[in-house]
Amino acid sequence: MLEKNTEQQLELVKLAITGDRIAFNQLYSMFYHGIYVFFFTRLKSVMDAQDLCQETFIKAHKKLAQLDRPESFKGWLFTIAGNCLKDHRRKERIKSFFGFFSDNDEGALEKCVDEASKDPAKQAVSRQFWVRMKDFEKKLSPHEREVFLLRFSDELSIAEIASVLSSTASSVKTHLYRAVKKFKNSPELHEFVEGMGDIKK
Amino acid sequence: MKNKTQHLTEEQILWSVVSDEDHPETIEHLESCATCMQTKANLMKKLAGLSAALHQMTPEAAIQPLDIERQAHQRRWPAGIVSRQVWQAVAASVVLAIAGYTGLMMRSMPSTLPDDSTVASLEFLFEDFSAHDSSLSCSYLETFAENEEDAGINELLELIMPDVNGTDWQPANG
Repeated sequence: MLEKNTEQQLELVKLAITGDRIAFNQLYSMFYHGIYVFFFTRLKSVMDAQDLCQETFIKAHKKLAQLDRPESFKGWLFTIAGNCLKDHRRKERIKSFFGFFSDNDEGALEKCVDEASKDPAKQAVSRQFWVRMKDFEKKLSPHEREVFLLRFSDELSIAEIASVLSSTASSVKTHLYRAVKKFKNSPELHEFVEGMGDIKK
Repeated sequence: MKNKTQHLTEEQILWSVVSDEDHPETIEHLESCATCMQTKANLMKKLAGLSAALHQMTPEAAIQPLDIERQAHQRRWPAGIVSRQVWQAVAASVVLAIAGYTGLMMRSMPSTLPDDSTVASLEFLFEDFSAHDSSLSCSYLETFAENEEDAGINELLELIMPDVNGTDWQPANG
């Protein structure tokens, strides 16, 4: 099933490179959620995540002819997303320097969570999850956090992560090892995640 | 490397979670040791649970239609009319015009008159000065000023012509 998906994806990428708009739109539908989660887990803002999603795919469409290896499309797309994120953070820093308010505070996250679900129980679980996730992220260095999220949230391979971060596979593995060790030593987070699984059952 | 009777260390389990391709001996051990396999599986399960939770807890957002044509047109608009160099030239001209206009305005502006507070301070200082020197007569002040002025001139003359009043001085055609 997975192989079939990968083959289909590869075909779509090849068609999109030749200028097939329908193929590109299919790729957009295929990767939209992944890219949206990528931005949301880092910015905790639905609006910013949606805007940056659009920006990423517009840039990808513009630069698609430059993609040498169609099989590396996913890593390439996440590299563009990473660059969009970097630009966004730079703009946010400039805004905060000039005294503009940023939406990326805890209040904004709570608002997002509340808007996402009308069920108060779900809202409470979601809020607790993001608080615990934030506490866990504080234990990680920026590089460890990025590697950890790219591996376990965005589900990229070690080689893809190395490509996205312009790093080496061994460096990625070292940072990932440290991050996983910190995760193992964060029982409050994995106990909560296990509890969520029980609730679903 | 631990033999088959010893279990893997925490470090080895973690490395096997990160990437097991670099540690064939760990894979070999895991294949034969149910306890270590279970430890690794537990950790993998927790990580998979976190991965699923990150996706589930992300607020749902409806997929927006990708309007590449419109977005590209909006972005291309300023560059679409004229080239980048022309825009740079226009920007430079505007900056120069503003600078020139500001310079002209500065020149044509009348010299600033001292404000009321400055005038009041000067008047006060003047009065203060007069009050201090009121003990001296006007004639003394004038004499002092004259003598001081003369002394200054004499010093200057001595510097230019050291022996102008002395015996060594000879007229040019004397």
